[in-house]
Order: sequence, then structure tokens, then C-alpha cells
Amino acid sequence: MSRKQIVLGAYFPGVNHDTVWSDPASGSHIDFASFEHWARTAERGKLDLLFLAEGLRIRTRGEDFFDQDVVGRPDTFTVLASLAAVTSHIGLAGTINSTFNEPYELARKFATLDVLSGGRAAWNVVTSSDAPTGENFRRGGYLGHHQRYERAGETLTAVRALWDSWGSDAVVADPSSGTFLRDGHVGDFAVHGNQFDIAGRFTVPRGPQGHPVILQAGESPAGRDFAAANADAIFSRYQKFDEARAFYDDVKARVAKAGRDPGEVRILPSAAVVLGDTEAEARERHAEIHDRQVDPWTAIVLAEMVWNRDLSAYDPDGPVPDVEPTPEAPTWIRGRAPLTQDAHATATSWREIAEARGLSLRETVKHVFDRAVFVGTPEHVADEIDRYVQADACDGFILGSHVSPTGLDEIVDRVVPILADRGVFRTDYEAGTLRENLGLAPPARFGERRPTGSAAVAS
Amino acid sequence: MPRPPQGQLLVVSLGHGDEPYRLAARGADVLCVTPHDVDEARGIVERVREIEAEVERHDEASAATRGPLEPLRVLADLVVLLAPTQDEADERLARLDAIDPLTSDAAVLATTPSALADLLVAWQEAGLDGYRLRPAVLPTDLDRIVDGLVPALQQRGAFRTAYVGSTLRERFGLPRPTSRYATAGSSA
Repeated sequence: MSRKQIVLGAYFPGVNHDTVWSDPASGSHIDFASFEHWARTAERGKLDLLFLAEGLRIRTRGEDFFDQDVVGRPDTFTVLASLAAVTSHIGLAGTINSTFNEPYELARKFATLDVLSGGRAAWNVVTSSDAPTGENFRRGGYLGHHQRYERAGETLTAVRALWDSWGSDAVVADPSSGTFLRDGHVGDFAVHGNQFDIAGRFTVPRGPQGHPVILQAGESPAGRDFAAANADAIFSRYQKFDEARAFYDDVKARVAKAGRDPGEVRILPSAAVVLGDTEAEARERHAEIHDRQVDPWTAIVLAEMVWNRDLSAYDPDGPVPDVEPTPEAPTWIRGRAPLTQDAHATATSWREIAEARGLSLRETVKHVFDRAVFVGTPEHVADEIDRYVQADACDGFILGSHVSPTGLDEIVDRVVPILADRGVFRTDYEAGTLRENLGLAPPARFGERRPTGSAAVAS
Repeated sequence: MPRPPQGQLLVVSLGHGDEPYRLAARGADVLCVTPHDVDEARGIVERVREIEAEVERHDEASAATRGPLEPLRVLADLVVLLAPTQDEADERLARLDAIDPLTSDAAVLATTPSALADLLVAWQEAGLDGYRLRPAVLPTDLDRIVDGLVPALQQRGAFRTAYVGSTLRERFGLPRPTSRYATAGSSA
């Protein structure tokens, strides 16, 4: 049996403590030059896609501005459009919120990105139940957990209806007959559901992919079902081999249950990589990086995210706090996704880890937040990536490091060529869209695939 | 996002009467208008200046620190169709009109690059700060603007031969607005 081909993407170091902005090699997180370097590097490695996260709320701690980590992030669409101009093959995936955006605007922007990039657009659909984020938008407030997936489902259905409203052959542009459009009804749409009641004419011709690639990152059961029913690729946080295997099986079963072919969904965990010429050197380098990622104050702040209260009086080198978390109190650190659904259970598990291993608070936080998945020589990291994929723990990885924009360079220069030599990763791009590069079928127009939870939404 | 290089982006709006002129006078940097001859251009510019005086032209940030805003930069919109000779320009326009009459809110000028350069220089006397040209046919008329009109304007000393400054605001001679949140000692 032939070996699975690995999917590889690259994430831009994010607005969180994993990104060490104080590293001497660190560049701007907002200048075009940084994004350009990152994108060109990824394309030099023949990677499948670039991945941009999103932050719609400046983070605060109590009443204060939270500037322990990188602050500030430019608009996803604008960055991806600028990168489309300096790359030719790589996919352009952006995280865009479905809670605060209108389907008409989303469909226009992604269809435009798909047209401008020659079929390289991808949308990571996220939802938000964060009230402070909602305050930035005209909707105001936020949606409860159930409603935000209803809205996400209806948004996606509506966006797909809009993408389908132009046929691939709609534009004739025949000067001899003076005919521009084949069909005078092009762009007609009407979508009615609980969240939307919209009708009109869509303005952007169908892009090369028909539908941009849909990414999703559902964690909860509702999120996993939504992803299984709707996504072309699923971005996961499960990085340990056994967890990744379990997630893979669970999601593929949900894909089948949703009436889809499990083979048409790619599962892609994110993975930070730390390389060294020897295993020992890599481990040493990782220890240094991790020490800077979770410095004493960051350790306190990350604990505060679980405890949801001010822990600044506690010593990071002392024990895990013995006070109880106060999850019912007003949110102490805002603008970050919650770290836990059950603060008391998480606090208990931290205390257990600390006791069993004899760790201080900071050491416990470092233990819990070690996001570096692959630490070792390039050969070792390539071995591991290949092992995960061939054993169906995932279909590939979204790779990155702690430094922007140059952290990806050594991954592309030292790890990717080993995978290509082994015949499990492309040695060059074939002409084609992102959808084709990922081995995904073209979507049917007025596609038969509909989110299972929103049958009432008709296009 | 941190404050961008221009501080505030250039705000441009198109207007055809008092109401949009008033909107622009309140908050825009550049107003595009659609005169059909030099006299109409003069009348429009005078009206815009009256309205600027009527409305409180300010932004809440800079009024306190910098005094009144710069006056609106007023640009005339023109649909441009160019040819080496006037006869050829007339023919091109007639050919387009035969397919589908070329109509516009702005004046349609079918002429030569050199005659258009003379006209643009002459209309400056009406108080216009510049023009927003709408090429009638792409890429033909854009090419002729760049290769024919621009050198003709440069020969008349009426157009730059190199870019000066880096931001768009600088190109319009507009300063970077002070941030409304700036405090003494902080950078604007």
C-alpha cells in the first residue's frame, strides 16, 4: 500500500505566550515584510497552506491592558490578499468569525480572495461566545453556545448558497454578440432561517475552487459535529500521539455519521517545532525557549486564566495556589479563549501534577503548557511527522515556531526536504487550486452537502 | 491594530450638491466634484468654500491641539478618452457611442493628450486642486494618460516628475493628525 501524502501548513506565530517577541531574532508582527518572509518561506517549502489566526478583542487583565504578549494584529483578509500577490501556489487560510460577520460580506470577501489568488482561499470558521468581543460589533452582546453553532451553520449554508449563485460559465464576455452574461438571473439568492432572512443578487463571479476550502476547529461535541458536517479540513489542538489518534477516530466517525466520506476530510493539528543538530542540543534549546515563554509573570497570568482571579500575590516559585478558582466571577482576563471548561477540576489536576512531580507553580504551568510537539534533530522530527500521519493520528500538521517571521525557515530548510526525499511530501507544486492540492473533490454547485442541523435553511 | 502610518487615512468623497458637500466639509479630506466646464468648476469651488465656512469643519481630536482642519482638497472627476488627433478621438467616441452611448455624471472629454493638458491647467484657475481621471477604456486610455498626458503636464511644469513624501496624506499636503488620545510627552 502506498504511503499517505502528508499535508503541511504554516501558522504565523500568534498573539500568545508561545511567541517570544523578546527574542533577538523576532521581527514585527504587523509589517508586511514579516508576512511576506513567512509566506515566501512556506512556498519555498512547497507547503499546502498558510494559516492566520484572528483576535477581535484586545486582551485585558482586570482593568489593565494586557501587554505581556504580543499585542496588535492586522486584518486577516487584507494580509491574505497582499500575500496572494507575492505567492503563486500556496493556500491562504484565514480565521474569520461567523458570529459577528454577515454572510453576504463573508461570501464576497472569500470569493474575491479565491478569484484574486487563482483558487487558493480557505476559511477557518470560528464562533465566539465572548461578550466583550461582541461589544466591538453592531450585533452587540453575544450568542449562547447552542445559538452560535446555529448561526455558524446558517452562515455557512448562506455563504455556500451565495458562492453557488454564479455558474462557472456565467461570464461569456463575447464582444461579437455584445453578451457579457450567459444568464440574466446570475447571482440570485434567497436564504431564510432563524438567524438570517436575506435575498438579493450576489456580485462576485464563482471562484476557481467553486467554494473556498472550509477549515474548522471544533473541540466540544457540538463543535466536532459541526466540523464533521461542514469542514474540508479540521484544525486540532490534540498533539500527543494517543490523543491525536483518538480525536482522528472520533471525528472520522462523526464525518461518516454526517453522511460524508471520511476520506474527504483532512485532520491537521498544529505543532511547534524546535530543532537541534543533536537530540541533546534540541532539548537544551527547547528548555531555553520554554523558559522564556513561561516566565514568572506569565506563569501567574496563565494560572489566573484558570482561577479567574488575581493571583499576583502568589510566588511563581512557590506551590500551586491553595485558594479555589472563582469561575462565576466576572472574567478576569478578557480577549483570550478560556483554557478550561471546569476550573475546579483543572486546579485540582494542577495540584496533583505539582505534588506528584514536586513542581512549583511556574514549573507546573510549564509542564501543562508545553506546546512544543516536535523537539529533536531534523531526522527525528521528520520521523515523527511521518509516523503520526501513516498511523492515522492526523493527515498532516500546521507547523510553526516561537519566532516570527523567521522561525519557519529552518523547518522548511531542514525537515521538509527529508519528507520529500521519502516520497511522503511533494517535491514541487502541480498547477492547481488549494482544494486540488489537498486532494479534495470540487464542490457541486447547489451542493447536496447541507449542514445537518439547519435543514430549514433553503437557498 | 496600532495607529497606522498616516494616523488617519485619507477620506475621499464624491459629491454632486450641497448635501454631500456638507458631509465632506464636516469630515473628508478630499472632495471629488463633476463640473462640465471651467465656469461650473469655479461655481462649485466657491460653493464648497461657503459650506466649509458654514459647517464646523473639525475633527474632535485636532481642533483642540491644532486649530482648524486643512481646507478640503477639491478634485474634478473627468471621463477621459484620448487619441493622437482630435479626429481620431471623435471617431473613438462615436464608435463607443454606437455600441452603447457613453454617459456619465462627469464630463466626457474626447481629445488629445496635449489639448487635455492645456484644459487641466486652465481649469486650475477655477480653484481646483486636481483631477480624478476616469479612463474611458482600459487599458487604452490609462496607457495614453500615462504615456501622453503626464509628459505633457510635466512639460508645462504642472505635474511632479518624481514622488515626494511617502504617505498619501503627504502627497495631498496634509499633515498627520494628532491622535485624540495623545497626551503631553507621548508621541502623536
